Order: sequence, then C-alpha cells, then structure tokens
Amino acid sequence: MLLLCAFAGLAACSTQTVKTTTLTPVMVDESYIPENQLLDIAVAVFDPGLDEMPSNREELTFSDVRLAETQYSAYLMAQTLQSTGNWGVVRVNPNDLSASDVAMRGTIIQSDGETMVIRVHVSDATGKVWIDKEYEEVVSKYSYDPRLRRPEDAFQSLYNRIANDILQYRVRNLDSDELVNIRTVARLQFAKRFAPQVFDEYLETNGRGIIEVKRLPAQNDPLLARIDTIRERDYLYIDALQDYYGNFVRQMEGPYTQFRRLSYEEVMKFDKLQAQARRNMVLGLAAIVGGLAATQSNNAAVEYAAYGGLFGGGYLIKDAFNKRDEAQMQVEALAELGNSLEAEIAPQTIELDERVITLTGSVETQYEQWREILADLYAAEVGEEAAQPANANAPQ
Amino acid sequence: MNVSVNGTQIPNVLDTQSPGQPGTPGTNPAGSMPGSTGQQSGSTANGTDVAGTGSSNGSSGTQQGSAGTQGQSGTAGGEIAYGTGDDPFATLGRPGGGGMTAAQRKAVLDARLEESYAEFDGMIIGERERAQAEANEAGSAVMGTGAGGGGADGDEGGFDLPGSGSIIVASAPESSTGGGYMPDGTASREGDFSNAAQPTFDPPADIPSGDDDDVVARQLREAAMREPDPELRERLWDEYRNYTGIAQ
Repeated sequence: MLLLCAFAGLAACSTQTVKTTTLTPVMVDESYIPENQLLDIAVAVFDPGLDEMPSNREELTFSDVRLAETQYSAYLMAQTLQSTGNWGVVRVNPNDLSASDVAMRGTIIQSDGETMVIRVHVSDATGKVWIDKEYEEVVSKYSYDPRLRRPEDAFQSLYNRIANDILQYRVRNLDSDELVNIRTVARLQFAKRFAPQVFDEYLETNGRGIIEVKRLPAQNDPLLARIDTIRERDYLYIDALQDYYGNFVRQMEGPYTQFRRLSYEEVMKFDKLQAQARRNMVLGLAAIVGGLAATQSNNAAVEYAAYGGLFGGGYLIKDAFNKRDEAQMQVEALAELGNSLEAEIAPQTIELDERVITLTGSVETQYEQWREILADLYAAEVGEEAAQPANANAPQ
Repeated sequence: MNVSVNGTQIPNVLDTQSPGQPGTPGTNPAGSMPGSTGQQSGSTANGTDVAGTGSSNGSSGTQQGSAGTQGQSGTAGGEIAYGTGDDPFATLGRPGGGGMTAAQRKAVLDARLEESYAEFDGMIIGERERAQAEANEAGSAVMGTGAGGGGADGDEGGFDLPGSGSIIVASAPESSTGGGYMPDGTASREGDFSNAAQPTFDPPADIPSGDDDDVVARQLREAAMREPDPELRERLWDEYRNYTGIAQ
C-alpha cells in the first residue's frame, strides 16, 4: 500500500509543460498620425541583470554572453518597434534618454535559450510611466530547427508583445494634445542641455513628478532654432551608432543562434535530470519511510512488500544522486558552449564598446563647444537687445 | 578665418598669437528671450508655438559644407579654442565694448557654428561610411536611415481599441535588416510536451502478461510502464524480474 502511494506520488509530482511555436503578431496602427504627434522612441542598451537572475540559473549564465545580449536584444526590440510604423524614429541609445519622446529600458532577468525574461520600463519625456512589468517567453526546440527556416529571432514573440503593449498604452491613454505635449517637453529637455541658462525656466516638475511646460519660447526663437539644428546632428550621431549595433548584431547572430540551439538542448537535459533527481529522491525517501514502518507489521505479505519498498527506495535515492551527477555534466557541457561563444564574440563586443565610447567622446567634445558658442550667442543677443533701448534714448 | 558682414570685412581678431583672457559666460537676464517679448506672456502650453517644428526625421543626412572638410576641432591659425577658456571676445558683444558690435559678434559665432557643423557632419559621415564598408565586407547592407520604417503587409483581420483608429494585427511587417519578419499565417505547432494522458511503454518481450501479479509486482509493472527514462525503466523491469523470479 505504501509502495502504491509512493508510485502514485510519482505521477502527481511530474510536471508537464505546453510549449508552442505560435508567433504573437505585432499590431500596427493604420490611423493617420500627424508628424507633430509621431513619437520617437529611444531604447536603452538593456541591463544585464546579472545580480537578479534566478539562483537556479547561475550555472547556466555566462556574463560575457549576457553583456552581448544586452545590445543584441535592445537592437532587436528597436527593430521591432521601427518595423511597425507606429512611431517616429526608434533607435538604440546608450546615453541619457531624458530628451527622448519615449524611453524604453529593459533588464534581462533570464536568457538561456529556452526561456527569456525581460523586465521592461517605458516612460515618456514628461516622466509618466507607461509600462513597468516583466515579460517571459518560453520557446520550443522547433524555434531553432533549421529545417523550418524561421527568419525571425526565437524570441520575436516577446518583442512583439512588448511592442503591442506600448502601442496599446499610447492609443488608450494619450490624445493628440498629450502627444504634442510630450514632443514639446522632449524638445525643451534637449534645449536645456545646450542652453540651461535659458531653457531651465521653461519646464517645471509638479508634485507628482511629472514634467510640465511652464512657458513656451517664441516660434521664431533663434536660439531654439540653432538647437534644433544641433538636434538634427544628434540624430545623425545616433544613426551612426545604429550602424555599429547593426553590424554587431549581424556578426553575433550566427554563433549566438547556434549557441542558443545547443544550449537549449543542454538546458532541457539539465532541467529534466534535475526534475528526475528530485522526483526519485522524494519517491525513494517515501518508499524507505513506508518500508521501515511496514516491517513492523505482523502480516507476512505486508512485511515482504516493506522490504521491497526499502530496497526500491534505496535504489531510487542512489539513482537520484546519479541524476544530479549527470545534470552537473550538462552544466559542464553548457559551460563549454558558453566559453566557446564568449571567445568568439568577446572581441566584437569590446570593439563595439570602444567605437561607441570613442564616437560618443568626440560628439560630447563637440557638444561642449557648441554649448559655449550658444552661450556667447545668447550673450550677444542679449547685449544687442539691451543696446537697442539705449540707442533709442541716445541724444540726436 | 576672415568673415565679412554686409560686405564689411570684420577684423580678423581671431589671429591672436597669445591667448586672451578667458571669456565670461553670457548672463541670464531676468526677462524674456530676445525676439519673444510680448509673445509669450500669458501663453498657454497648447503646443502650437513650439511643437511640431522640430523634425523627427532623425536621419535626414544633411551635409553642411563639404564632407571631409579640413577644419579641425582644435585651434588652427589662432582661432578660438572653445573649451579651453580662450575667448578674445570677452569684452565684445556689449555696448561700447571692443571693436565689434553684437551683431558682428553674432555673425562670427554663427559662422563658427556653421563651420563646426560641417566638421561634425564630416566626422559622422566618415564613421557611417566605415561602418557600411564593414557591413558590405561582411556581406550584408548597413541598416537604412529612413525614419518610420516599414508598415505591415497584409491584414489578418482587425479590431478596434477604445478611442483609437483602426488597428490591425500584422502578419508580416517589414524589417529594415531583413531578419525580423514573421512567417505568413499563424501556423501553430505542438511543442515538445502536451497535456495529453501520460504515455505508457510496452514491457519487454520476456515480461509475462502480469495477470497473476501480486500487489508489489503490479506496482513495479505500472511504474516501469509509465517511466519515460529508458534507463530507469529498464532498472524497474529488472526489479520486477527479480521480484517475480523471472530472472532466475
């Protein structure tokens, strides 16, 4: 009876997972959006989340691969958003996002070929939070089956769901005036970076932490016009960064997909062995406990079954330890895959970082010069304006 | 650098051999901006004054001056070394100050700004050309620079969200890199596992029918027939054989 209960527990403890290869389609807003209401989105390079990963995934995570994934995933997310046509310019931006119409930040909580979990935070230039939640996607082995020739990323559904939620928020919560207001705030935020002495007073933060337009500059404000010209240059700089990210993603795609396909199998084996080890351990212990109790019975049949339970339970426990050892072998196999991928993409990651830093440094140096020129221009304009009443009052 | 305003040559005050005193930054007068007097007081943030004028093309690729201009970001020929505190215009731009009026100073500064735009554009264009060359070498095209991206192809039906226009579910949106489009249709396929009843595995050939199994033998048989792991399943069958005496 106890053995029957133990084996019944075996069936109850087993878990079953349903996986699907159905791709969540991305939504497209076909309604006409005037240009002054078309929001741009800046996608930050994702946070690697190495401090937040589940403890049972530490052995399956490689820091260099994760660092590469932060840029890889951010780029794919930007591509997904851009491809919908629902937004203006969507770019990966490693810098300050405060002057962006909409800013998206992500943290990779888990990424092991089978499962990807990303915590997403989306907010607009006013500081209003659109989305702050985790997205999880579990894929099947068919996502990596080369015979299916799937061109999209294995986790494209994840990116599509995020894109859909961002669109839904905009459609459900923001009217035309609010869209225009977001763009205005973003524009003035950018202007503040180059002429804070002028544009600081145009924005204020209310009690709820939302940035509001306090007053507007004139439509023909010459200083703002110059800053708009600089902002066009900033767009060009960000576009150049996209070239870097695009090249990096294309270089990384092949080995990274291969790694995910192989690591998927290893992760599956690991999870399966871990589950079997746990199950057998529980089952074995239950059988032993039941057997020990039954050996005290006066019924010969029960006593005989009890010894069977003791023997079977001991065997299952031994097998549980064997399964754990096998799982550890999977970890080592996975480590070999991870180290191989790290060796392949590490130079590319380093090169990307160096180029981004170098270009950004050059751009920031130029921006600093522009700030000084703008300050001098403003001083000249103020001096000119002050001189006009003085000239008007000058004796004839 | 020689600059003329309205045909009047501006003295080349930039050709200084020795750096002047550091310039004083422009003051921020309490009041409105130039050109905005009387236009912004009492104005509401209705967005009509400012919004919409900023282009979000993002990548119009405008090219000021010529690409690859020889202008250097540092000092050259006594030009102002912005960022180093060298500002021979320190006393200019103010009424009665120096030999340059505010308008002249503005013209010089604007010219300097335009020149730096050209330098910046040249730098960015150079970087993009380098990236494109690398991409071509790798056998793929550099991402395009158009804003807005592509729309969606096809429509699988539509649904309306409250307060929105028509929103359709895209079946195959375009991707500028060619690596992000979705397959046609929404073919669903079962994955590795299913919610169906737990499968059973036939016993080995040497295992009898089990009609005369007692409780323990029947439990061993059922456990072996449900065990998906082949190695463990075989061990359970061995245990069954040992218990029923088949192995003897």
